[in-house]
Amino acid sequence: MTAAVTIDDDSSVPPYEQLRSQLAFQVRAGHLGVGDRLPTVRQLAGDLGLAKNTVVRAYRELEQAGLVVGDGRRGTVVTARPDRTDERATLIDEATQRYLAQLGTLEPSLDELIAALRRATG
Amino acid sequence: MSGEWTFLVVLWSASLAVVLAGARPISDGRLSTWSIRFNVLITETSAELIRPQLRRARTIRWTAFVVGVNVGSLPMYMNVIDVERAGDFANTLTAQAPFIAAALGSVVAEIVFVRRRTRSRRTARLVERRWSDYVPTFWVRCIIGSLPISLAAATVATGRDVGAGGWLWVGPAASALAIAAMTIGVHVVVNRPTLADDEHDLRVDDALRADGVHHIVGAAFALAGVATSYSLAAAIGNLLGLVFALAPYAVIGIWHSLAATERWNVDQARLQRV
Repeated sequence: MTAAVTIDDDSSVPPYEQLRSQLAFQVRAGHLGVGDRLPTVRQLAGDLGLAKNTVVRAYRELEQAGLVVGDGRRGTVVTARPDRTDERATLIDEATQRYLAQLGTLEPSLDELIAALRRATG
Repeated sequence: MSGEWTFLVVLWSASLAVVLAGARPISDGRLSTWSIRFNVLITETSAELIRPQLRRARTIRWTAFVVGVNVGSLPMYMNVIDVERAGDFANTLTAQAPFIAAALGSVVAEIVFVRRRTRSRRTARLVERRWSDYVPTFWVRCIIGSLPISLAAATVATGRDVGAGGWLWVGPAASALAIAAMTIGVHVVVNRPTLADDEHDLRVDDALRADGVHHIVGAAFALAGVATSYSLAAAIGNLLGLVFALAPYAVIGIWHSLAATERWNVDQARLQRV
């Protein structure tokens, strides 16, 4: 199974942030290793039906976070190792972001979310 | 009925037969062969994605080839219309028209496949696609290498004054056209948006790309090969030149092999690259 990203137009989270957070998750979780090349901006924008600038912005923010580096002809390469020390917290943060993205247009309040989590965990 | 008209009737009948054969539905057997060739399992759902694409692409490619063959037969048309001018159309360019049309047709067949997804949820794999995932690099190098060879051969032939005049430069021009068609076509195929979301359909999507690239590179190789053979035959001009004059037959064999029979596994090619 190869790493993948999903963009949901119905989500209240902007597309560039959906992309950035999922890519960051893939790197921190070790699904993308050091030296792995990300798809070209043109390819990813085409596959996800996004504007190229949206992908460029997500890649730039990942670069600023030190997770990837743009390397001219080599494209964008993963530089960060999986964050083992804070891995659990990071994974929870990223999973929460995806969970919120999936809720999309429902836009629940914090109280509603807490109530739902309590019900789910018994 | 004169010989010219008999030729044209046979040509039109054959053209119509080829166009109709190209447009016929993709059979289960053909789909099964395709599945084995590109090492991808085809489910009922993915067959719905593959069949129209293969059929549309084949229709365009075969129709383009038929148009090229008819352009290549311009001297015979002129024999009927104005026999005095028939010789004006019997030149290197019309002789190479079927290969030029085939190369351009294979590119157009892939351009029309580009679709944008309209679903609200879209998934993409984080794997960089490269042209070398879809076709052996050897043939691409051969096509690129044909340009300097045909250029050098045309220069030598011009120096020898073999009497072909400016038509000698059709060889290098056709090689350049083959390279351009291959570059544009492969770029279109590699960068076209994926139409699939799940892992299985992504493999099918990759197989469709490999099929398209094989057709493009095969047709471009045929064009470059025929063009280079013509230039070399003109430059050498003796018995060895005769060998190059026969080379197009070998080139056509390689074209058929690349476009229709060569097996290719995209995942394996990608793994070797990584």
